[in-house]
Amino acid sequence: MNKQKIIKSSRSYAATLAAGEVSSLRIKEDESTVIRVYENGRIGIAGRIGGGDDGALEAQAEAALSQNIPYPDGMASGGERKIDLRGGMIPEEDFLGAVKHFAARLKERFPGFIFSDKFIMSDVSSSYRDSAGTDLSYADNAVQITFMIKEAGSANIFDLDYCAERRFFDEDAAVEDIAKLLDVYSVKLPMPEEKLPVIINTGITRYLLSHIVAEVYSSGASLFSGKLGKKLFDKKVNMLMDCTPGKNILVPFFDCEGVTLADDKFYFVKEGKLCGLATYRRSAQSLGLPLSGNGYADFDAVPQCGNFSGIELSSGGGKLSEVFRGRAIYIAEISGGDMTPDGKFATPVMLAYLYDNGKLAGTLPEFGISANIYDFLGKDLIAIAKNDIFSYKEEDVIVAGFNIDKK
Amino acid sequence: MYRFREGFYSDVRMEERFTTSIRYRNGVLEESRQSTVKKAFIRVYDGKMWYYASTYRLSAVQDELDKLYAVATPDENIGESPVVKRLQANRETVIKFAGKCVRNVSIEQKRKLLEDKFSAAQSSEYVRMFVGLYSDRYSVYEFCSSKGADIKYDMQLCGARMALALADGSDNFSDSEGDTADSFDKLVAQFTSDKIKDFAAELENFLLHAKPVQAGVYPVILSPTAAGVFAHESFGHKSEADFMLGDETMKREWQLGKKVGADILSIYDSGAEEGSGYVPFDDEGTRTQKTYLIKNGVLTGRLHSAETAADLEEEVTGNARAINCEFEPIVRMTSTVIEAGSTPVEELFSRVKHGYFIKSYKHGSGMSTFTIAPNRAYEIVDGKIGAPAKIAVISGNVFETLDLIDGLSDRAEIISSIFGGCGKNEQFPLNVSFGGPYVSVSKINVQ
Repeated sequence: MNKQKIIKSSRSYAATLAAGEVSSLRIKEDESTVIRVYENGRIGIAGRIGGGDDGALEAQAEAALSQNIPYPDGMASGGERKIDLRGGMIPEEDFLGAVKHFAARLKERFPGFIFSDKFIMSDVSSSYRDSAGTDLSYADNAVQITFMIKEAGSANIFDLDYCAERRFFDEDAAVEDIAKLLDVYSVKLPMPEEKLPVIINTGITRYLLSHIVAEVYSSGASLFSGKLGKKLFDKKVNMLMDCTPGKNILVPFFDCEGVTLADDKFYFVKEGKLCGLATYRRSAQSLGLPLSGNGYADFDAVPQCGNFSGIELSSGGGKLSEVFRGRAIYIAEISGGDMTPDGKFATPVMLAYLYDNGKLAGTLPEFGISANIYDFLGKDLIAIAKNDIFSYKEEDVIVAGFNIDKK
Repeated sequence: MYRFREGFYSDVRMEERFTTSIRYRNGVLEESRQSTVKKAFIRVYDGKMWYYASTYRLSAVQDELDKLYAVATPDENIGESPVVKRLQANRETVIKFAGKCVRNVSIEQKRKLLEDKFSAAQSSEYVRMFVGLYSDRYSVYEFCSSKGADIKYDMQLCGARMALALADGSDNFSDSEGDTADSFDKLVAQFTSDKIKDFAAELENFLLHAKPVQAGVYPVILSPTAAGVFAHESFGHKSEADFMLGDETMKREWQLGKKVGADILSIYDSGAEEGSGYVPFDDEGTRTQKTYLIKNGVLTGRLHSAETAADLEEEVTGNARAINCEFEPIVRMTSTVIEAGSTPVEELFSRVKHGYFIKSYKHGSGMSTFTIAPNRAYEIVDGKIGAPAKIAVISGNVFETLDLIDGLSDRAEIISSIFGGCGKNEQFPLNVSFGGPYVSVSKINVQ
């Protein structure tokens, strides 16, 4: 009987900012263990929070085979790989002081704005072992800043956010980033008369993810069904699962089934062509497709397709200031947009800046943007690049033509 | 009992959560599990800051408390803190669901509820994939505090849902339909094959006949589901008082009594409604209540934790909630509802020459602009529902739109769901419910 054992643990320190001051400290720890067993094309799973007896857990997993859940009996490819990226964090005893110092500096430097939400320092580890001898482990740590920023007197819950996730904390660089957003916030500019390109976070392509899921694709219900191997977008578009250790913060280089990728990469779209689909062991086997490392499971659940953390629209490393010169509209906050089944994307824009040769010049009135996904990743695509407006916050952006729907 | 130290306010919240999760894809069982997890969340307040710990080691709660005391600073006058004064010391047990607990329903019965709908799910020839989901949760909470609170209560939800993906050549359309109830018997009565058959037929109509819209401003009628999302996103989040902390301008401008919407508009939040917004006490032990946010177009109330109530010198409302024992309570909604008006539904539609009816939604949001991404929407032509419409998003300025509400139907529905929930900051999903009548708005941006 083949077996897998996955252990995950985490410890975090989280400070909350309320009205610009540190109002709380939270210490959280978690540990879970899951054992999966496979027999006669069935899977049995048992999970546990915290420590305990693995023999008893394995017996529970074997008993769970009686649920008769069909699942292919495939182990990971074997081998040992251990990655530990930890280091560079604030000592736990200094955490509260560091965040208080940061908050006080923000309050002094930006008196017209109110900062709230979280500053988190996390330490995580994951391990995967199976009866084929596979032995994988990953450990990482990071500082995660998620600040909601409100202009004093604004009727909004928040006006903009500043989110950054790095393996080190650099207060100076974070303050400098925030200054780029807030120093020109009150410079209210009219909507430019000419049609300018739009610079927007590559995260808007998340609407594509469900369409590259193998089960959806093969059912015919994907926007891309029948187009595997065909050109969809401009050749600058590369969409891939990139599990290169160090690339994704707090994300292991293996999925919940211990799947690792050749060269740690799997391309869904390469040079504009649809070349792969998101799979996990069940869908890969039933549809005859390669494994893409997208298996995901809650601690005691059957794996399914859902590990999308490592998927990115690759910028190829090019910097925004190098690949695009001139004026554009930088979208800082969107909310609630979506895509129709035929690929039309539309969203209201809550906050946008005029971008002028590498700098933010001022804020624009509210408006909406819309475009068909085949256009803004096709004929209207100018570049996909690393946003070098900021130095601490890491962000990839699309520069493309969109319809501007003025209010 | 715990050894609470002098000079601090402290509380301990524990939840034992039983859950079931079943999933079938195209009739094949993919998931079938039941689990029970018990965790604790500990809070210490020293009058200046809150100190929290979350742990799965239930035998170590006292240790965690002691560690928090060690980093906090005692205040001999902690009892005089406006925050602490507002924290209630309820001593009560409210066990409502033990006699009809989903833990006592066999997993075979739960699976059969889905299996019985496989035929209906495939009743359209265009269905390419169907996914049946069953989920339930029975939680028992225990809460005690240094002020003497000693509470025990339960909550329960169970739900079933069928997601259908249809395709015709390169056209595709997907949506899901389901029910959530607070007992398995109620769910069985609601989640029927006929409902799934009608749903499949409606999606087929969408797939074959949906038309793109010309972006513009139109009259819109929101279904009770869409109206509920609108209430939750457009005004509910703005009623959560934590966004006013430290902003004196906001406190002046956001005074109770201010006119914020049409005269016919009243919105309330209540933890007492049956369904996914039900909770007798919030996560700092305050009894929940019905709070009017807007009454006849006038700002009447807002939602509070002890901290925000103290800051605004108002009273607690029982809205300090956390998604589980890994997180601290923050100000959240429970069941947020637009009160019914007096107009028959047919009359609301008859007033619209050309507009859109938003029947179901994928998601919504609410900042200065609220948005609803519809899934099923229809054109309204000469007062009648017409062809299905492909709409990416509808949006509007929150306050302008509240003022543009020009009709409310005469019956409100409250929509519960165990699938998904409300997200705020790092905490998602929180069980909430929302609802309202059919709501007519004279102008909304449609894209």
